[in-house]
Amino acid sequence: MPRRKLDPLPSAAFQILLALAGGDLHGYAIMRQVEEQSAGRMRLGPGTLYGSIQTLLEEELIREVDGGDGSAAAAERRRTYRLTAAGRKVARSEAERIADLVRVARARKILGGGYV
Amino acid sequence: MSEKMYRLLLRLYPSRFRGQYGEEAMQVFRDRLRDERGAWKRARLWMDVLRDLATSAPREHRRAPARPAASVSGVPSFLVLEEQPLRPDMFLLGTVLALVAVGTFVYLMTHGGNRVVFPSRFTGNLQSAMAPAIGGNGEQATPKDKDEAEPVPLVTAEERELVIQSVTGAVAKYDPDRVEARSVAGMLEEQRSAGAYDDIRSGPEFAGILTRELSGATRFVTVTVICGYEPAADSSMWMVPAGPGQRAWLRIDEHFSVTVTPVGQAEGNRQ
Repeated sequence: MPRRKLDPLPSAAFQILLALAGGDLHGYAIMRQVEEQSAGRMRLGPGTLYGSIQTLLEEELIREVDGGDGSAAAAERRRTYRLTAAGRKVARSEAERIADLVRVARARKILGGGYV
Repeated sequence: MSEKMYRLLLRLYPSRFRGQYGEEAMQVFRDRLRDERGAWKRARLWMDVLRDLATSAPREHRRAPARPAASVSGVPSFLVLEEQPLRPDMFLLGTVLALVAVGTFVYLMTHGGNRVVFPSRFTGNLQSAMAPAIGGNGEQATPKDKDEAEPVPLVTAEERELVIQSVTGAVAKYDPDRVEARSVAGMLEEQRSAGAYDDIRSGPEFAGILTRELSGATRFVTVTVICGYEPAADSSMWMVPAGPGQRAWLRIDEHFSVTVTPVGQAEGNRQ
């Protein structure tokens, strides 16, 4: 699995993968989704957003999809991105790694039981 | 306006990144502008943009591959600098150079602004200081052997008038006795009108005559008219003093200058 540039997976890239797990999105929608799923703690700027998208495209974790579906994004000629199978796998691995960390933190009484 | 500013900021990214995602980034920025109205949200937007720029632009430059332009047979190949990643040492060098440039500019603005240079209106008409090389109408004062002595500056009628006006102005400015200053001005103008200086061709001679005449005419200041090639030794005197009671050295043109020294102070530049 090609993970040279994304090992470890940067937080922004992970958030983008999570955002695309819910469906195809264009750049601005990804940014809004990331803001929402992080409870406003992460707002990706255009430079970080498209820099991360470029890396994810190079690593084939996401791909550009044809916008010819009559959607608003297609009408505005925006690029839309879709999570690939490899991208889903990487996101799952990262989520499991974080879940392991959370288990350790809970065992060490750093986190309460109901936190996650 | 905001869009123009952001478009300018986008130029800080490598050209390849701009080519691929520049318009997308602009669209995202426009979307945020549209959705985030109000002073607080706009301020937050710009904070996000600047923070994003500070972190992502260097990263993109580091990532941009350094590629020489395609080599064509017979045509020299050059590196396209715009495609080069921003090297940290070059960034540091640029920062240092910018600081030096700004510091120099500030220094010049704060220390060089009060130097007085009288307009040299007669540069084109003035007899050349290199009289031996020209020959002609400087017969009396011109040394013939240039290996033995420096050429003597010649003075024209126009330059004599300029020197007298400048000396009069300097006395009026720095002589605390206004009546005396007006008297000096009247005396010099009267002499000039009467043709007392018309026959003087030598610059040093003219300077000496003026100095002698002024030495008896002013009680509170010593006025010295200088003609020569060497600038005065005390460069601090180039700075215009705050007012009466201080020494001043004012340049008149490329040949003449005048010093005004309050009586009782050391005179370091008398000729």
